[in-house]
Order: sequence, then structure tokens, then C-alpha cells
Amino acid sequence: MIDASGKRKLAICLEWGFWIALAAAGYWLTFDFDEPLDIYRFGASGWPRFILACIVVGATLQAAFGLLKERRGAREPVLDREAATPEGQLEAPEPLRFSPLLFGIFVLPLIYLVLLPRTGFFVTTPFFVLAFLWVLQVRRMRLLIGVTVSAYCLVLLIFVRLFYVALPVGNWPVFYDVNNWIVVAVRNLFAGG
Amino acid sequence: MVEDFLRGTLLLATDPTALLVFACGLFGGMLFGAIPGVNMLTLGAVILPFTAGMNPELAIMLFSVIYVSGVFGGAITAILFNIPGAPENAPTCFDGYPMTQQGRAGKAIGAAVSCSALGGLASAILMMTATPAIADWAVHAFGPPEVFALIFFGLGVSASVGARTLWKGWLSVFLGLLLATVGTDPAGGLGRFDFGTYYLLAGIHFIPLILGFFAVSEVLTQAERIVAGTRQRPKANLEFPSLREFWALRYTVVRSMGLGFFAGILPGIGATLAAFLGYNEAVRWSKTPERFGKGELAGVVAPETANNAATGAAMIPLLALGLPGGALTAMMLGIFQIHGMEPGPLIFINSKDLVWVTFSAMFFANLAIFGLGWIQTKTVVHLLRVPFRWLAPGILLLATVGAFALRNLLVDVWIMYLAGIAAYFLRKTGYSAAGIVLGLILGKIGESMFIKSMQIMDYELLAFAHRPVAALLILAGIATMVASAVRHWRRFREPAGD
Repeated sequence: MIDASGKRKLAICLEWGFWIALAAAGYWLTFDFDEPLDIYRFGASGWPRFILACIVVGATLQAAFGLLKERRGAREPVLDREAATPEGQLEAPEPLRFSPLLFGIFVLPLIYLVLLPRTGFFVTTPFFVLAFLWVLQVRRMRLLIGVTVSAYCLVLLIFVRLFYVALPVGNWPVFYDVNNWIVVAVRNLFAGG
Repeated sequence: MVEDFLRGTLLLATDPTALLVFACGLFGGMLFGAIPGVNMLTLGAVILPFTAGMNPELAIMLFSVIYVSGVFGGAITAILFNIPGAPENAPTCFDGYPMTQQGRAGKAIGAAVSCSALGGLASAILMMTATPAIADWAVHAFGPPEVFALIFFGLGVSASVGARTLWKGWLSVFLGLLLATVGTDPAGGLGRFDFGTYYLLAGIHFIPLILGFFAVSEVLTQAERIVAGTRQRPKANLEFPSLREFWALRYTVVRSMGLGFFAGILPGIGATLAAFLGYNEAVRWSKTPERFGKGELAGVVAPETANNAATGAAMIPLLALGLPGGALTAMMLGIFQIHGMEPGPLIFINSKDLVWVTFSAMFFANLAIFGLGWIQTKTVVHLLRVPFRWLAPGILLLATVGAFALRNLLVDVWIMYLAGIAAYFLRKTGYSAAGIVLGLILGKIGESMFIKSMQIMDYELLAFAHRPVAALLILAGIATMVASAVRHWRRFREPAGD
């Protein structure tokens, strides 16, 4: 069994490993563009390699101070008031919680993104909004439909009718036609035609 | 100066389109600043592609008004929901949110409205007086080495913004700098980290990243709380602060104005550093520092005065040197580029109307905050009654369309969502999304200026020491880094249990 201190040490080492792996992968990729330049002595890879070196130094110092502090039985010092996240939380970050619904919150946008170029924005979006509301534990049918219709109509009005944004219409045959039909219908409807 | 200001005001007041754009910017900034999950950056990102069809005066004026009203608007969500509209509103949460929990939301927002307007007005006046002088000086004193030094100086403090520890702050900034290297290199035009796809040759645009880091990650965080049943809806209250309370805070207001203006001039930091400095100084000078963080009115007044005081000052490096002070001013830089213009000292000669219409618009936007902010407060507090789960899908849709509309590329939407998920975990582990964004924005300009500097100085790093302004800025940057490292070391050596 690993005690709390051991877990924290493991977390510090894993964090260090992540940064070192990132730096190593980055360094390996710099060889793709490590060509000499006539107009610049340090070449295209000089600046990225310097930053990667900084990452290695920063991550190593972070791990060293963290482990040293852990050995002394205290936590890494926080940056006082500056310790707040951009969201203003002074307290320690919330722990990760895993649940099927939380998994849904992360996966739904990704499914939406995979479908967007295939089934198009206009067909996929209402289902995405509906599914996201459901994951957020909205269960009343009137609310599910009301919020979905309101959000969808507002987006159509603002971005399709007013700003003429060319949103994805899909590349699967039937969906392509349906999406285009919706675009034309929205522009005609709000134009009063 | 007065003549130019009156001319700018006249141009603004006599052009119905300009007035419409001004009103849209004012209401849009306030609204987007106030709605949880979206902010002035979202609005800026969404409308940025459409500014290509506007004339540059109106486009820049629109963004400057959004900047002024959005910085104020972000305070409302910081106070009501503990979600600052932007990093510059982060310190407002420290005392603003506890005030809301204590049922004093109206008092906190009232103080934020008044002090944002005061700070912004003072800054606008100073900006009108100081910008031409700084621009004139910049012609002679600022070349690529000085600009690089200025960016280095800005980076020196960016590690302390938003991260839980110094090392996490620095790693966040380095990650931002690394992301900035994706795409074509500025010296030889070689593709870097593009993975063989031409989509990445243009680099990672900061707008999808900002949308991901702030809007998407906030939705994910709040959604997690909803699912876990830990999200609490705050109370609504409309009581405003009294005149006596304001008078007692007069020194805090004046001190924060000065700090805000000074910090606003620094590129890449601007209003964020201003707000933190303002807050820290309010604590330092208070007779009751122990009350800060528990619902102290001065804790709202100081950062809100300072961050709005920085809005005018942030326009100085943008207009005079072409250096953005933050994400929104970086978007303004984008507008200049879209219209084939180059901000810099000559803009005061070649585009005088643009400069003075912008200055006048910022002045009147701050004035308008007084009145509209009061009305908005009366209405926006009722947002506390709208369940966040109803707003969340709309925020995601808005962000999706905003990221896509930028270049009509789905890869930008992917970047936004992946950045949102990454930011969710970064926030959990204490890294700073603001630091990454600052690194990304400053990294692109920084590398380009470093290359030019090296070419000018024949690859002699020590040649920076022969240029007084560059040397001073680099020394100040190093001093800042050393000071924060020493502070960190001292805290590290404190006995266990800190």
C-alpha cells in the first residue's frame, strides 16, 4: 500500500515524466526542420529547442523542490494571492471525479466534432444540445425542447441570417441536402420571403 | 489634445454608423462580460472575422469599447458566480464572491461599477495626454532589440499570474511559447511541428485556444459540479454601497488608478497584472489586512479600479509600438493586419482620425458605464436565477461557431475543444491557462523580434547591454524573475505546514 506522501511523490514524478516526454518528443520533431538558414544562424530549430530546454529545467526544478519539500513533510508553497487560478480559486484545486455523466460531458463535444463535417452543423446541432442538456441532468421534456429550440434558433438567426457564416453542411449525401435546405429556408424565412 | 479629442468626439457623434457600432460594443461587451462562460474575448473572437468588411476606424473603435465595457462586465460574473470574465477580474473574486455569499452582491457590483468607470475615465484622460508623447519617444528609442526586451520584461511577471506555484507558472508560459512555434518559422519559412498537414502551417491561432481555455473549460468545470451536485446557486441582493463607504476608500482608488496605468503599459500583462497589483497594494496599505479574502469592499474596489485604469494604458503599446497588452488588444492587432495597416508611431500621423475616434469612444464608454452599469446591475443579478445547465449548451455553440468562423476550418474547433479539455485538467493541477495564452501571444512576436535583433546585432547577445532601454528592460525582467524566485525560496524554507 502506498501512503499519502508516497502518492504525492508518485504524482510529482509522473508530472515530471509528462514534461520530459513532451520535451523529448518536441526535440525529436525539431530534426524535421533542422536545416541551416542563410539569413539566420540559429536556424528554424534554435528557438523551439531553447524553449524545450527551459521546459526540462522548469520541470526538473519543480520535481526537485516538490520531492525535497515532501521529504520535509510540507507542501510546495503557493503563490499567495497570485495562487488563484484565473477563475479566482484560492483553495486547492478540486479533485478529479469520475462518473458516466462526467464522461459524457467530455465525449459529447468530441462526437459532435467528428459528426460535424459528415452530417453538417444544422442537422447535428439540435441533437448535440439536447444530449448535452440531458447529460446536465435536465429531464423535463418541455425544458429539453424549449432550451434546444431557443439556442438553435438564436444561432441560426445570428450566424446564418445576420452574419452569413458558412457553417459545415456535411458531406454525406442526404445530410448535405438537408443542411443546405435548412440554410436556404432560414435565410428566406427571416428575410420575410 | 483638446482639439483632437473634440474632433474625435464630433466624428463619433455625427456618424450614425459609428454611434451604432459604439452602442453595440458597449452593450455587447457588458453582456458578454456578464454571461457566465462567455466574455469579451468570446465576443471579440466571434466578431473578429466580420471586421474585415468594416472600415478600420469603426473596427478598432468597436474593439476598444468592448475592451472597456467587457473588463467591467467580467467583474459581474466574478462577483456573482466566481467566474471572472477574464484573468484581469480574477482578484475581484477574492472578496467579491464572499460578499455575494454573504448576501452583499449588490454592494460589491455597485462598487465595481463606480470604480471601473472612475479608473477607466482617469486612464482615458492619461492615455490621451501620454500616448502621442510615448509614440514620439518610441520612434527614436524602440527597435527590434527593445521590443524583444519589452516582451522579455512582460514574460518576467507572467509566470506569477494564475498558477498555483512559481514552477507551474513558468511551465505554463513555456508551453505557450512552445505552442507559438507551431507553423512557419519567421526566418526561413520552414514548417515546424506541422505533422505534414498544411492546416498547421499558419500556426495555432490564439482565438480557438482562448475560447477553449476560458469558455469550454469553464463549461466543463461547471458541468462537472452540476453532475456531482456540488454547484450552489448564489443569493440575489441589490443593495448599493453608500457615499461614506466610497469616501473611505478614496486612497485605494487613487493608488489603484496609478498602478493600473503603469501596469497597463506592459505588453502581455496589462490589466491582469494591474488588478493583482491593485489588490496586493490594497492589502498592504489596509489597517485590517486580515479581512481581505473574506468579503472586504476594498478588495473589490482595488482590482476593478486598476484593471479598468489599465485599459487605456494598454492602448499605448498597441498603438505606439504595435505590441498587444493582452488577448483583446492582440485581436485589435489582427484587425490592423486584416486591413493591411501596421500600428506604430506613424499611426498618429497617418491615421489620426482612427486614433482620436478610438480615444473618444473609450472615454465615453467609461462614462456610460456609470449609468448603464447601474441599470445592468439591477437586471444581471437576476441571472443568478437562471440555471447554468440551460446556458451551457448555448455557450458551447457560440464558442464552436466563433472558432469555426475565424478561418472556416474545423481544425480550429478541434483545437478549441482539445484546449478546453486540456485547460480543465491544467486547472485541476494548478497550471495557468492565462500563462499559456500570454506565452503564445508573446512568443510569436518575441521570436520574430529576437531574430531581427540577432541580425541587427550580428549575433552578439551582449550587444543588448549597449542599448540603454533594452538593457534596462532586460535587467528589470531578470530582477522580477529573481525576486519571485527568492520569494519562492523563502516560502520553501519556511517550516512544515505552510
